[in-house]
Amino acid sequence: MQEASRIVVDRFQLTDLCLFTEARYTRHPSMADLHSAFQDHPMALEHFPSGSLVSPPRFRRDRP
Amino acid sequence: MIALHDVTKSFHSGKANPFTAIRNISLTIAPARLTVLKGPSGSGKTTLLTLIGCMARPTSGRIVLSGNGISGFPGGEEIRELDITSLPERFLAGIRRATFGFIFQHFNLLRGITVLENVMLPAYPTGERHGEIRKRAEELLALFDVARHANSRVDLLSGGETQRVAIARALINRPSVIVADEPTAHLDTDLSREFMEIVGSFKSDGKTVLIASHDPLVCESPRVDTVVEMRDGRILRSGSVP
Amino acid sequence: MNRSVERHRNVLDFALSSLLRRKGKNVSLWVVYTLIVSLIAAIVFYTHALKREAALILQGAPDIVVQKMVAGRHDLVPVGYVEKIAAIRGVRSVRPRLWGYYYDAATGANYTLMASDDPLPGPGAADIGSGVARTLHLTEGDFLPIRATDGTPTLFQVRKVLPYASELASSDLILLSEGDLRALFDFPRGFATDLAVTVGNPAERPTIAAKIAGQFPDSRPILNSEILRTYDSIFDWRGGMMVVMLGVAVLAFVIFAWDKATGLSAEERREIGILKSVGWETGDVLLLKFWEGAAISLAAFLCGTILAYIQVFFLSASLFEPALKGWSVLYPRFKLVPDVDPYQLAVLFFLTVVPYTVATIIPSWRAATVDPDAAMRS
Repeated sequence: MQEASRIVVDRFQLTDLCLFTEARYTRHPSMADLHSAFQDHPMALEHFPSGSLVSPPRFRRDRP
Repeated sequence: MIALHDVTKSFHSGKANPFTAIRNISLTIAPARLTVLKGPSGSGKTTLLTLIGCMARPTSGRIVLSGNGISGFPGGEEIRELDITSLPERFLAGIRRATFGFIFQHFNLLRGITVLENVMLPAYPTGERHGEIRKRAEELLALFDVARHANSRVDLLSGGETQRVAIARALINRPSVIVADEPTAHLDTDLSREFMEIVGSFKSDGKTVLIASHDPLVCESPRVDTVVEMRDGRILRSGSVP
Repeated sequence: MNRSVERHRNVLDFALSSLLRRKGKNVSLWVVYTLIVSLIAAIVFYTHALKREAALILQGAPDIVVQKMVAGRHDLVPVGYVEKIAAIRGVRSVRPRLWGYYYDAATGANYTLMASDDPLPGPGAADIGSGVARTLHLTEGDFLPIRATDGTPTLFQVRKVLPYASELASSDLILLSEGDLRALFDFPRGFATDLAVTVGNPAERPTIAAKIAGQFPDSRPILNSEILRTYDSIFDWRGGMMVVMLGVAVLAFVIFAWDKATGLSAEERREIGILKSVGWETGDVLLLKFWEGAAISLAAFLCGTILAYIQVFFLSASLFEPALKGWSVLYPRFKLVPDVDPYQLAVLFFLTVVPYTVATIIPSWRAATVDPDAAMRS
């Protein structure tokens, strides 16, 4: 199972696992930008259940 | 032989109700004999039993065990004479376990477990193999004719059967001294006589027996060797029965 | 040494018989404890195995992905960047990636549409992931309708369904030719979604990323290591759902350990008194209480972890599915490779057995130190 997934990732240069297909930033968390999670408005509370499982990519917080 | 030298036991000293159970008692318990402590309740019999049986320590005075029957000393040494007054708790407990067997007034068996397990209990902490303890327990139950109840719960036995189980339990660690506190208090005449017969068999096995009782059936039994009369924590008189 | 072992064995024997005496209470205690442990263990096993999968599968992800940012938002990147980036020393190749999301109103599912460089037999053909095939009930040769931005539906014929074994990475993919994708989404010519940069020497990735960022201040290079790190922090215990689950487990544990910690019943006290009078020392009584607590917590730990292992690795964590699926319509089907982190298991063991055993011993301390002659007097 793992092997087949690796082949697909390699061939199509994919960047994320297809785990949570609810929203853009949950489907591709590593590609998400600061904006996506607050797409409705800046004070938007998390409304996707999987958003509570996927935290913002760490480099978002570290990079100046 | 157990020798007490000027032993006193007080409780609650320094608190609201200080109370001296035993005053300046000096006594010798002869080996392989039946000694009876006679006296009304409150005379200090029970306290004296607990002191002799290594269950408590005297407030002052000395208690010395001597002879062949002392066992349970760590290292398995052969001790001929031992002053137990200031022995550390650990050693005291070990000696008590191996040297003394207790029969309580209310039998004090554990409800809810089987007769066999009750008899095996005192031997558990000794580190003896489970199988061996079990075998000995079964033999003891057979000896006292209660083997058929081995797997019954204790609550279901009659008074006499319970007493015999309590006696079997007292013997599990092969003690050389048997201590009984008012053993006939809850027994009828026939069972009391039966008990005294069993005591007779202890004597013939060379065990020392110490009974605290005010039951005439016990005190005036022909098997008794020494009677120690007590009142208010002192010995009134003590003498061998001719 | 032998005596010590035998002593433990005897005391353990009695401890078990004591527990069986109050069978109803102790069995229900054990069951509840097992369920709690199995919940926590399942979470631990699942997240660890999934993170490990992610780390292994995504090793083949691009070395650097370059996005363009406008006002802090991800915007389309001009294809003109490709030449300039390719000119940087150390860069082996730069490939523009064309991909986006498609919301299918009929099913409510979100798909990822991607331009495939695996040459398709012509316009109007598509390769789909097996999750898509499952949701829309399609097989090879069937037709897949996709609405363009102007609302017109276009039919694509399914050439191939990607292998089921690759669901974890490709479940929701729909692969089209570049021309079709551009036409569908009305992609402006000369722009792509982002760029995938291949670097000759992996050690040079950060320096090259810095150079790209320097040359194109509006770009955001994402390193392969950062992609992998994203998956290290999923299911972080600080996330909402995890905190709730852990909190519930802790609370449940506290509630029933409370029963133990608030002391012994009169019956238990009497029993200890009798044990002491027949020759058990304080240490022996405490050993008994230790074994009583340890027996239940050990049994709960063993059964809980075994249950969790079965649930996560043989039943594909089906109990977690509703929580993980959330509002997704499309959910990948995959079997995780069994993998357990021994450190996590050790921590779980420690947390399961020690507090409970301590909660059983401590209240017995007082009763265990009673004088042996107390039973004579009662």
